[in-house]
Amino acid sequence: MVETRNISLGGLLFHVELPAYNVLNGYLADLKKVLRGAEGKDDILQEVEYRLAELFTEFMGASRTVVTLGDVEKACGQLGEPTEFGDPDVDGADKGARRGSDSSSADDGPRQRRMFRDPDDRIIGGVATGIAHRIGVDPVVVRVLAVFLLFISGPVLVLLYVFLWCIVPKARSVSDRVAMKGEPVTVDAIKDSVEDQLKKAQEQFDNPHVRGRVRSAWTHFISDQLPRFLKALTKVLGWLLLLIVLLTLLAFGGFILSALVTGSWNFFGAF
Amino acid sequence: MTKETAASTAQMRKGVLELCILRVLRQGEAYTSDIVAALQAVDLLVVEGTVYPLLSRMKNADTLTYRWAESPSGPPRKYYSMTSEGETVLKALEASWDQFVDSVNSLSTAPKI
Repeated sequence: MVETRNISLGGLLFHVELPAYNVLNGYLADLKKVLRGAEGKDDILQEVEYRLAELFTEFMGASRTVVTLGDVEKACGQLGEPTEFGDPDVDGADKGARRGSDSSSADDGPRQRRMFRDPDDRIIGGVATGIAHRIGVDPVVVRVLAVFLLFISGPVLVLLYVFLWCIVPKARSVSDRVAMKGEPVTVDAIKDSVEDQLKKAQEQFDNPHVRGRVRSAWTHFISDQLPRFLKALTKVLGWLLLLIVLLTLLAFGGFILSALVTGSWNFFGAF
Repeated sequence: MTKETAASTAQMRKGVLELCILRVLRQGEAYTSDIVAALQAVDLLVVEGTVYPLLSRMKNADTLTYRWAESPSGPPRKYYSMTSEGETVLKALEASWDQFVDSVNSLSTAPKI
């Protein structure tokens, strides 16, 4: 039995399978993004909503009551990619601007990664992971670098971290996650992302002790211990970072306090 | 068809879409899906997404107007019809279209210079 969500489209109630619901949500979120600031945005979204309601009713006929992933994909395919909804007049200018700021991506078209904080892989605010996704390296690299830089630049890095934490949005929707990890935002990519999350959930569900009784100690280490070790290492680094952040904040606060008392704003003289 | 020619064809379709919608509506009011189906039947529309922004723009320009109507099975339907302003726009667009076709065709039949 697949989990379902209830949604209202065009005044009708639909039961939608969870994977289908996620794809639909991603699609609508992308659509809203494309239409942001566009003339007649509400009209267009209303048309889409009623059209989706009609297509779902048509696809399900009288025999089914639940909207499946197939239905959603078919409907979204028929409506077209969110970018098709863009105003053709501003199309050219938009593309030019995106190309101009794009340096890291590969051959075809704008695949600009966007910076988000990653709620799935965070120690404090997910800023380090966000940076890692943005520039395409492993989060551990960013964290090690951050800890290293903390010893050199101290409060500056802390302030920078807090600043980024405030201004960088968290990756909430599926399409945010796709944009964060740098795949093109299409229905397919969102589907992949949803399937990825489902697989992860499935893997956690499967009992690891049942499998792999015949594996050698080495493969056991590679497949089981090493990821766990790396994960633990990441955690430790993260906590270390947090500790240093707190200590630095404390020291910084102390400095300001002492500066207020003594009237001397010489940072190193305070210690 | 190569990627480039496909893109050009898509641009052409986009360009004549307003004219086509008005021609569909000249035969009487139609709701969104009717318009979409009519255009798709003659290969003038590949994905529906391009129609909705245009409908909204035409409505705001008073070329179109609409009314809501109940549907026997699905959600309520938005029936569009042409305004008198729309008739004027249609005539102007048809004139441009005829001229456009003539111009393009004249190139293929013109003697070599």
